[in-house]
Amino acid sequence: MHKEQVLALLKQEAPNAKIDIAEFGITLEVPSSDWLSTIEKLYNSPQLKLKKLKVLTVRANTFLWAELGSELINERVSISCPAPSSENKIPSIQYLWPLADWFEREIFSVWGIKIEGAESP
Amino acid sequence: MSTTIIHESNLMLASSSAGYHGLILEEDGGIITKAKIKFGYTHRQLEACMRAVPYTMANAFAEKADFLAAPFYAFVYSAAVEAVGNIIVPPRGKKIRSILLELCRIQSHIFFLSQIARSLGLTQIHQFCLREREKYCDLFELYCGSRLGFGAILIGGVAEESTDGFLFKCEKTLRDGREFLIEIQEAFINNPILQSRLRGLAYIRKEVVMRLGITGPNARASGVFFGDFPSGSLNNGDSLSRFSQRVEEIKHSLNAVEKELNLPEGAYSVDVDDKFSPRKTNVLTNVEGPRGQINVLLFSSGNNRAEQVRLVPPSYASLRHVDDLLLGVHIDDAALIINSLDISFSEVDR
Amino acid sequence: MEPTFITTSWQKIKEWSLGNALNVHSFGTSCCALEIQAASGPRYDWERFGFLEENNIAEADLLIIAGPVTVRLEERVKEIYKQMREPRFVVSVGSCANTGGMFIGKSTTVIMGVDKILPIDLFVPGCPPRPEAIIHALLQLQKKIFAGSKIAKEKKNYA
Repeated sequence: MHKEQVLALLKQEAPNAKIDIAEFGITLEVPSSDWLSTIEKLYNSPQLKLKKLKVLTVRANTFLWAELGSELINERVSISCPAPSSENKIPSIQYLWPLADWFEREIFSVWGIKIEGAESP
Repeated sequence: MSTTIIHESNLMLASSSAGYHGLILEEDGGIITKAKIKFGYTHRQLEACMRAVPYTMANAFAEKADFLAAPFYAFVYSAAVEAVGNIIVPPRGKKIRSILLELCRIQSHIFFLSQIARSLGLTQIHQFCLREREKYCDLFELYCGSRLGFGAILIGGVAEESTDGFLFKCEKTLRDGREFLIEIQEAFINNPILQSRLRGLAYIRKEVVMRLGITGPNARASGVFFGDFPSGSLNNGDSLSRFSQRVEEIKHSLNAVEKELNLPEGAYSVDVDDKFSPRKTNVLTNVEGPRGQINVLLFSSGNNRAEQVRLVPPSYASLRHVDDLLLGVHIDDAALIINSLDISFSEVDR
Repeated sequence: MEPTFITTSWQKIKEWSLGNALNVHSFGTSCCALEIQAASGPRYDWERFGFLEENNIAEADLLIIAGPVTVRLEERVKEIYKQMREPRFVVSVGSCANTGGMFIGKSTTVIMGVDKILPIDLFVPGCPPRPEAIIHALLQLQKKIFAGSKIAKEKKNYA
């Protein structure tokens, strides 16, 4: 698939995300409230099928960063969202990938960012 | 009536490769009813150390993540920095790198064989496999001075010029490697103790492999193939197929190194110094290591230190499944299951 | 035929039998643990000097600490040391266990030197030290045992 087609599909799935095209991949920046819903849409989309989670980490102490992979497209897709404050909480994505709960526990123990559903080690 | 066993182990007791882990078990008449594996004891903050030094010096920290596959971690980190900084490695350097990586893979798989032999009680085979592994450590020592391959692969190429003596000794070691496999065929691979104990132990199904993201020989032994890697004789996901998959990979690597032994002319590396400052971006690189796929996510800032480096070890995904694999299994087989997954706890903790 | 006698002292017999048959318990955390397994392997064999791997801590004479010891492991190492019975010796292998090594000034979870938590008899430098260096160090420890009670052990409160 060409990069333009991938971009068009991503814009369709995540309408209120800021898309940043870098040399090594495409980055989506979503607000905290859309983290789970955007990832779910990308997971279930039939043309993109982003069903692989490579890593879930924290960037610059304030942004959650996830790398997704797919067997259909060759592009690198990353998704990022600012860390939650006390009002809005970010739910865990471990029901899609069981490995994510270990990533989220590590985020809590190293950076102190709480994610609902994976708090105490 | 159930008893709780807290089993703390280090390299010498039960674990296969590396590091320190704990295992809390509840058993009832010898059968395990609950299991929880604990790790994180040897967290040395390698990624924080890599942020505190310039790019060229952070190679040393990346290697210590998994010391049995040290050139692989150095390679994937260097590839990330080279992608960000537009450094092109000359072809001679690339060939030397691929020779070193395949030798390291063979060495790691032979160590796996020796750990399986030790946990089955076949101590003579354990010493025999270690003797074979020493020959590969000799090759690394001839090349870069370190028996484990520390400091062999650097940003921009490799550390040393490869000499004719090194290539000649490589050929001789590969011939010995083939004889080694023939010699252990009857004593070890067709050993009735090994066949009966490993057969049918700890099945990992295909769906679990896809869902957890297990890569490497563990995934290939369950029938999930990506790319052109060899397949063992059995693919049903039990411990015996994981074992025979790695034996097959040793054979494949021995053949692959032989083809690479004539090097092109030219320089073996490009000079990169401490003040090298790439542009601000992020990149994800990967390599297929002996335990699975190693990912490195590099965020570079404008100056000569990385903003963040994230190493994602391949044993993470296999380890996640161990808690479920240990249920309903006899307590004597617990160590064997952890050994057959070839988990390196020092890379899980980093 | 004249009868022949060997004269000795009980202390010398004790030291000779202890030094030539040390039970080793190795606590390896990182790369140095691999060199210790190589030192017990077929090429750099330490069993010819009498050293034997021991998993049971109460029957071990010598504790080898190899690799960086983190803050979370401090309690375990002290527990292992408490369960050993006199006479007991501790050897620290590798620069990470000696002084903190490559993590000095950069990591906050590594203890900068195992001698902050245990009394150490021998330090083996190297990153990692070669198996021959480890065996050479253990032979020096044997000499120290044969010299006996003339070398006093430093007593600090580590409990």
